[in-house]
Parts: sequence; C-alpha cells; structure tokens
Amino acid sequence: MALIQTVNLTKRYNEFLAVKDLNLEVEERDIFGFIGPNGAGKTTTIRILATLLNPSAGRAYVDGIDVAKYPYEVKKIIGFMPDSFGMYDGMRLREYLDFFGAAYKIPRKRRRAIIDDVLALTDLTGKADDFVNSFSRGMKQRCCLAKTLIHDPKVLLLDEPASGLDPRARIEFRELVKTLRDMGKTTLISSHILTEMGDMCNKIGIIEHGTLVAAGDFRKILSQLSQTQEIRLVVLDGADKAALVLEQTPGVENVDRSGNEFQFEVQLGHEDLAALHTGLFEAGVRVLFFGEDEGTLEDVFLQVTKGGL
Amino acid sequence: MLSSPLTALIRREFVAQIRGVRSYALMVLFVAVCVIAVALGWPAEERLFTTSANLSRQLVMGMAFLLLGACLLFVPALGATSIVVEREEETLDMLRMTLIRPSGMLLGKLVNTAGFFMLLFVAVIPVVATSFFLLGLDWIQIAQALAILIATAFSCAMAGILSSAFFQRTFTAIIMSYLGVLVLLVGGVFLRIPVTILAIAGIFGPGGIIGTGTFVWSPTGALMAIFDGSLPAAQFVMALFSQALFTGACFVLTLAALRRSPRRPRSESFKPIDDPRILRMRRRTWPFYLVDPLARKKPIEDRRNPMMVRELRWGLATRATFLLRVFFGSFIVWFFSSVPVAFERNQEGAEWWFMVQMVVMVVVAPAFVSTAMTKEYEQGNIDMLRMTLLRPREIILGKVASGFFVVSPLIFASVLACISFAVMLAFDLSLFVPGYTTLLLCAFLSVSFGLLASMLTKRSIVALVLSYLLNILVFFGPVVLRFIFDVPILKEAGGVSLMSVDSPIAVFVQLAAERSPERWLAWIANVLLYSAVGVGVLWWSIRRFESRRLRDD
Repeated sequence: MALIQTVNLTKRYNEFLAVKDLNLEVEERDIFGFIGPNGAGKTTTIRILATLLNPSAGRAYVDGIDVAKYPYEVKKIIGFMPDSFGMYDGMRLREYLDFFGAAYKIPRKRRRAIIDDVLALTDLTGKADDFVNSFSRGMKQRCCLAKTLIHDPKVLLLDEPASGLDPRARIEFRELVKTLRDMGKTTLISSHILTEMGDMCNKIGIIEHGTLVAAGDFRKILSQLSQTQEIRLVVLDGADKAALVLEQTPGVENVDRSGNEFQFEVQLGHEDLAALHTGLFEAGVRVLFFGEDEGTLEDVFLQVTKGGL
Repeated sequence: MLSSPLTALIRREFVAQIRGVRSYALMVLFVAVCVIAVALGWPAEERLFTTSANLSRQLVMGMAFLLLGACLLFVPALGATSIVVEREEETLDMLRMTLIRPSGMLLGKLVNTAGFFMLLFVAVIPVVATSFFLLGLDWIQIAQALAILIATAFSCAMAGILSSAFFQRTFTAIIMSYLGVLVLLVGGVFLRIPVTILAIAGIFGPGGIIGTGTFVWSPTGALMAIFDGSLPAAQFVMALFSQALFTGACFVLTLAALRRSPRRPRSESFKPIDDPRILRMRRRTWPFYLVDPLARKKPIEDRRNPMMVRELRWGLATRATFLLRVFFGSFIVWFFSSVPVAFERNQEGAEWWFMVQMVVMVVVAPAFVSTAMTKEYEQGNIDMLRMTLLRPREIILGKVASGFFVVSPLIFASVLACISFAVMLAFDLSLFVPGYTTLLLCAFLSVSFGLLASMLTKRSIVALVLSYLLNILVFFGPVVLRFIFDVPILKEAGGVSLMSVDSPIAVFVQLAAERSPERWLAWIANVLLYSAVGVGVLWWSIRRFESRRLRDD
C-alpha cells in the first residue's frame, strides 16, 4: 500500500508553475529519494505533503488521509524536517524536546522515556543538557531530527537534511535513516548529494520543472537509462596486447587507456563479454580486474534532466 | 565626487527601496492623510479672504508637522535596519569585500535612508502648494522649516544607522534608534542645565548667541518657533548646528564601528540561570528575585498550554534580570514622582501621574509584543511550530500571556509606588480605581494590537512600526476624530458626543477632572467598549493565524 500518494498534484504561484500534475507513490518502509535541480519543485511538493502549503489542484495523501482536508490528522503521523530551521534561545536540548513533546500532546509520564530513546537514537544523549543554540550544524540537524521523531511518526519528510554536513556527519546521518527504515518508518528525502541518495534510497524520483521525469526502483532506473555498459580493465602486464585485443573486438568503443588500466564502453551481451575476457587471457594478458563500472546516480540525473531552470 | 562602487551601492539600495510595494503604499497613505488634512482645514468660501493669511500658515505648519511625524516614525527604523539586516542576511561581509570604503558604505546608507523622506517630501509638494493659493505665506519661514526638516531627516537616519552598526539584532537596533531620536527631540531641554550654569557664570547672557532657549534646538521646538515667528536667526542657526553636531557625532561613531573588525555573532544571547548556586548568588544581589528560573527544568505539565509555558519559563525566565531591572527602575521613578504629589495632595498631579504611566505603557508594550510571531519566522522556528499539534488558540494565548508578563513589572511597580499615597492618606479611591483599570486596559489593548501587528506581517520591523501605528490610531485617533467633528461644517451636520468612544486615556483624564455621574457612565462604557475591542482583536488574530498562518499561502 502506498503510504504517500499524490494524484495530479499541481502548485501554481501566480504565473509560475512549481509542480505540474505530479503523480507519486511511496510504499511503506521505502526510503524514497526525491531528486531534482534547484527550483524543480521538490520543496514545494514536500511542503504540500507536510500540510504547510495548499495545492492549487490535485490531491496528496499520507496514509490515505487527504493532507489538504485533514491537516491535523496528517500532522499526527508525519515528521517534517525543513531545509532551514532555527533553534530557540536559552533552551537546553532536553527542555527543547520536552516542549515539542508537550506540543505533540505526549503525556508527561511517557515523555521522559521517549526523549531518552530519541536522544539515544540520534546519538545526542551526551548533549542533553547543552544549549541547542550553541550546537554545530551537524548537531542541529540531529537535534531537529530528534524533534521530528519525538511523536513516533510513520512517515518522515526530510527536506535537504544533509546539506552543509561534513562527510562524517553525512555518513552518520545516512546510517540513521537506514536504522529508521528498519524501525518501520517510511522516508521521503530530498537531496542534492546524489551519491548519498544512491547508497541510501531504494527508490528515487527525479523531478524537473515541476514534472516527475523518472521514478521507481533505483537499480531498475539505472539499468533502463544506461544504454551502454562501461567496463573497467586492469592488467598486470601485456597492456599493449590488451589494447590490440580491444581494438580488434567489434562493439568495443571509446577505449581510454591509462598505463595498465583501461576504461571502455561496450554494446555486447554477456556471452560476448565472456568471449572478450577469454580472448585477453589467450593473448597472454594477465588480468587483475575485469568488470562493469556501475552507472551512478549522477549519470542518470544528467541524462534525464536538461539542466535548465 | 561619487565613485562608481558607491553609486552602485546607492542605486542598489534606493532601487530596492522604491521598488517595494510597502514604500509605495506608505507614500500613498501619507499623501492621502495630507490631502484629507488640507481638505478639512480649507476655509469656507465666505471666510476665504478674511482668514487666508492665517490659514495658509496653519496649513503649511500642519504639513510640516506631518512631515516631521513621518520622518520621526519611519526614518529611524529604516536606518536601524540598513546594516543590521545585511549582517543577519550575511551580505555585510560581501559588501566589505568590495572596493567600497566604510565611509562610502555609510554615505550610501545615509543617502538611501534620508532619501525615503525626500521622496515623501516630493510626493506632498503638490498638496503643500495648494496653500499658496491662500496667499500671505512667509517664504523665509517656509525655507527655514524646510531646512529643519531636511536636517532632521539626516539626523534620524544617522541615529538609525549608528544603532544598526552597533547592535547585532534588528529589534535592539530599532529600539535604540528611537531612543537616539528621543535624545534628539528632548536632549536640547537637558542642555538648559549647563547653558544656565554658563549663563549664571556670565559666559553667555540670556540675550547672547546661545541664550537659554534650548528647547528650540530640537526639531519640534524649532518648527513651532518658526511658525510662531519667534525664532531669531541666531537660534535658527543653533538649531541647525545642534542637528549637524548630532549627525556628525553619529557619523563618526558609525564610521569607527564599521572600520573595526566585525564581531562574532553571539550564539546565545540570553544565558538562563539554571544553577542553584548562581541563583542563590543572584538572590543575594537582588533580594526580591521572585522568578524561579529553575522551574524550566521540570517537564511541562499535561493540561497546560505548552506555548504559554515555553514563553513564560524560557522567554521570560531568561530575561528575568532585565524585567527585574525594569521593575526596580520604574518603581523608583513612580515612587519618587508620587511623593510630592501625595505630600501636596495635588489632585491634578495625581491625574498626570496616572496619565504618564498610561502613555509609557502604550509606548513600551508594542515594542515587546509586536515581534512575538515575526520572531518565530525570522528565527526559522515557525515551520516546526506549525507542524506540532498546537492549536492556533493555544499559540496566540501563549503569546498574549507572555506579553502581559513583559509589561507586568510596570504595573506592579506602579501599584507598589502607590504606597506614598496611602501613607499620606491621599488615596482617593474614586481616582485610583479608574486609574488602575485604565492602565490595565491600556496594557491589554497595546498587547492585543501588538499581537495583531505581529500576525499581519512576517518582518519584525514592519510589525513594530505597524503596532505603533495601530496604537496611535487607537489612543490618539479618537482625539483627532473629535477634532474633526469639532470642525464647524461637520458640527452643523450634527455634532456627536464622542466621549465614550474617545481614547481611554482621554476619557480617564476627563473623568479625573470632573467626576460627575455622566462622566462615570461614559468611562464605564469606554472601558467596556475597548475591552470588547481588545477581545475582538485577539479573536481576529486567532482566526487570522488559523486561516493565513498555518500555511504558507
């Protein structure tokens, strides 16, 4: 069952069409990566789902509830982390979470245990008595995520959560999102850091000019959009012989040699690839590595989007 | 001459300024007010020739004071945001990296800020020009008034820019800029003391160059004296000179602030007391440290409004020291001002004692309340707040409670200062009951209108100016209305007794002057009416939050 669903979702700001007939489905326990260039309509879509923006046309549902009609009910089951947010002055982390816990109507008796759990989950237990306003960017992100999780939402809407984080913080954040998936959460996450989305998301949606240009299983999209395979070959010796074999093999194109390492594109089936490998062996080339260079999300992104705003 | 980077800066600032809808709307509103004022003041045909000379002077004087009012209200706020907003939006460093020198930057800001007033002035020229038809105008008076107005615009702009360069937060900068303008307005009066001493010492005689009439050095005093025809040339020069001195001093200080290396923004502005030892120490310093800041460590109780608790425990507890200073400071002022009044059993003095407190309340409350919601936008907390399950009613009432607590030190200090009246047995219940009721009403109305202003915009500076405009409308508007209904032509159409809808402060003053049954009735009706207005404003704020602020559009 789709936990997040949009049906012909459209958002217009006067003459500017931010989102156009968007049809999106995110299943339970998915980590759905929402990708697109700046101004493509990612944040607008997420804000509509978060009940913070009214759609101009179409419908958006979270767990089957219409977000425009029943915002209060939707708020109970979603956790939204905006792309930019502030922190209250003079509040310590535990007090900050207690305030949001109370604002989410969590009974006082249960609140302390929940706060402890959320702090442990976001690895902030040691910072519970620190002022939230003094936190670093990474800490603030985690603090905001802790606040987002306080009412145990089914669905998480994370808008550019990893922007501005250092590599370590990004890795930790990625692991945290995976842990949340294991806990049964469904996550819709928008980001510009495409490599990270490839590692984290099982599904992606690419949006450009407010229109969804590709959506679905990450691997399937990769294979659909990659028309040629890129092969990487590393040899111990006999690099010249290897170059000759590659030159003579039909279907091998764009050979790029750098010492004992080759990179080339092929339009061959599995049988032909196996034959190429055997040919190299028979020519006396000692092969260290022969394998497919996986297409990256960047490749797909560049192929699908045109880059205009 | 103007270097090209400076021209670019002026162009960028000024174009951005006049391109905005807000500037346009303000200008249209201001011109409309001027047109209405001229239309109401225009003489009937049969009186045209007999009174035209006086009327033309009155009209020009009215326009000059309207321009002065606009200048004092808008220009300091514009100046106060000029640098601090660049700092908050992190564009100041980019500006520093350009080839524009600090002096150029300052000049650009000054031209832009004072330029807005010039635009207002140009916009009302056709309206002012109508008074020329009435003849009898003294061109020297007009030129003098113009010079004073332009000098005031630059002084106000510099006061704003100075506070903008010194303070890290927009709100503080705005408040301080208005305080700077207050110094400009009344500072001259305080100059009387040294000038009188010098006069006594025989350095300056009363008829000398300076004299003792320092009141005319302030823009208000100078304008009044110009149109009275009582401003000698030497005093006019002193009025201009004192303003130039003020502007120059602000310019030098601002330049020094801009030249020094930028300070790191403070990550936390208010450090709350949450260590029992520090609290004990503070209580030794301030024996009446009534607020327990440690209360915020307790989890929020289930049936309480979390927004209200947050505002009270964190918003106010972190400012407890400041509020206590306000309490002690105002207590000292109210108490020492009440002693001679109580001692002399001066009835009129007691009326004034209350009236001043009411005016102070109306001036102070909007400054604290008007940013209640805009701060949430500016600090980026609004999305997180809107995503919670808090109802708009809970959010608004939380903010109202906080507003009342902020102004409560003034009320408590006033009640406590009353002790002198009790001791001297000068406690007149029939004055004190309406006095304190009206004071509370003023607080309630100021808080309500401040909150409404905060609900109508997302920017603190706009909310602040708007809340003052609303308060002026409520507390001074009825007085103007009364003036309009007193205009003969309207009175002939059917004069109306407006006492019960008059400004609450005015009604209190009228009741204090004559405690007749009619005035008591009018006062009660007035209190009920304005209480209903306050409640209505709050209800509308809640509705507005529900319909417009829960979502972006």
